[in-house]
Amino acid sequence: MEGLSPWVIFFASIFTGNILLVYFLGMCSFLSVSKQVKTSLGLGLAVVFVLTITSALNYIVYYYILEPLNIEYLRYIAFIIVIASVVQLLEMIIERISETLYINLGIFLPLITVNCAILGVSLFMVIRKYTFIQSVLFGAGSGIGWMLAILAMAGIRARLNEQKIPPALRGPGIALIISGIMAMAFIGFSGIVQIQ
Amino acid sequence: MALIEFQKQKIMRSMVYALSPAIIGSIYFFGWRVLAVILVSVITCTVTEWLFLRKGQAKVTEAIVVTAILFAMTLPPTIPFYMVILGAVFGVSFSKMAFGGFGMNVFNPALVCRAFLYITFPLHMTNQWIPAANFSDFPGGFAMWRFFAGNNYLSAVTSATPNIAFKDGAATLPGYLQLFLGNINGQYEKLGEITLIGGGSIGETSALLLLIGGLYIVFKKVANWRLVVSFFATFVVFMTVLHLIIPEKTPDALFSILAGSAFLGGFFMVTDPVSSARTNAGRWIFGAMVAILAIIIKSFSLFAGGVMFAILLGNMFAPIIDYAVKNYQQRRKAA
Repeated sequence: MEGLSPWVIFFASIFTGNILLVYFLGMCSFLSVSKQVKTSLGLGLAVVFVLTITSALNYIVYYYILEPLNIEYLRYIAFIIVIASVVQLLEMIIERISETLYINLGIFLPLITVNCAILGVSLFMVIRKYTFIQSVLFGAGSGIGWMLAILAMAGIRARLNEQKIPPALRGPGIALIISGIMAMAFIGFSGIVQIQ
Repeated sequence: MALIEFQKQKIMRSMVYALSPAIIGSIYFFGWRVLAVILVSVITCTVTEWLFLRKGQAKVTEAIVVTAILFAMTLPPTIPFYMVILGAVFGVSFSKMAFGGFGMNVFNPALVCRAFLYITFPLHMTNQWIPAANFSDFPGGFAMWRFFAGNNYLSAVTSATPNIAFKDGAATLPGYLQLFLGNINGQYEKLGEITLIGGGSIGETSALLLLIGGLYIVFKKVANWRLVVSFFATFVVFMTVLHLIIPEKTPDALFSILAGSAFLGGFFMVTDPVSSARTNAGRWIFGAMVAILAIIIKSFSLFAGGVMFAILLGNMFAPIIDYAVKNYQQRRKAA
């Protein structure tokens, strides 16, 4: 992937290759934290932060530690360790800065660790052989794409009138239908740029 | 089985009146089969909505008729009837009734129907165009089930829309006046075969007929003028800029606004009061966003139906735009 400009990758990872709506990674927190706009904004920003940092760190770990030692097969464990420690750090920062956000995010903040979008981005970065700059912008772009999607979702859910929705579809049911239609709309972007 | 009853909605009546010139035009351009497509769509959508109503609940809304007509108008004239039914059932049940019926939907149901068909039957939705009747062909489609362009066109095998012709780099494209009135003809050579330039999807052939209906609903205040102005102004400006930067890949603003679904989308779908933004500042942002997305998708993506996908994407972000606008205004008031 030498030829692609990092900025192309950045915009492509927001729109054409949206990590959530095209690859369906990171669905669990997307569905459960999107009830309020404020909390989703907080979680979205946290994901952008974690994704950008971890894609940079994991790039260094993979190409300067794992590859020279010929232990690439350990990348899953290594990546998760890096991600977990970054999330731990972020948790401490958020607790200091905003107590309310910390309480609102609750269990989902530590759960960013197992948010598949984060690990997915690190693995895509290896599979697609991105350079360092490309990886960082890919991470940031994927994070912003994820944030955009969860914000749109939170806005939609705030507008919904739960009373009118058929009882069987309230809650997660309608959320899944909305994300399906959102993904359908995102298909319109397909073919603009290929990044894989 | 009781007869299906309709709840009267004045706004939706105006929409149907506004769409009628374009519907009559489409019969002339493509033959009576087009009317059958519209009727199948109306019946399927109405029955789908009716099936969802619970006992003693309100009647079927007239809005569903508008949805059904708009859906049919975005389809290619050769669409098989079963696809119309499939799209209508999917779109109405998942994007309207699942959300609680009229006024509750987040996405424009007509466009969800169409997007579903686009993804499920991409070949049929993007490749099966037919040439439209010209003014010299009178009585054109009025005398035929399915308009047939005549023997002098027999040598041609394939057909395209003006936008596809541009993408293929056709030497001669229909002129502005032709596109505006809907008198579209012309041919070019592609891979050794003669390709005819047709009228595109059912409702988009004549910009003039759509303009008449569009101005009518803006004048009647059924459609919010802010959305219309914001959409078309941004469309022209952004397209002109893009044309100046890469003239070989993008047509000029006038061509691209007259050919394709900008008029259909801009007047009748961007302005859907339920699924677009609801604050005034939000409306300006919404229209502009849809226009920019439409141009990007139209010019660079695999799919030709840029305006349609752009409106769906706009619908998706409309609630959060409104939220941001309200939040900003509250904060300014407090300060």
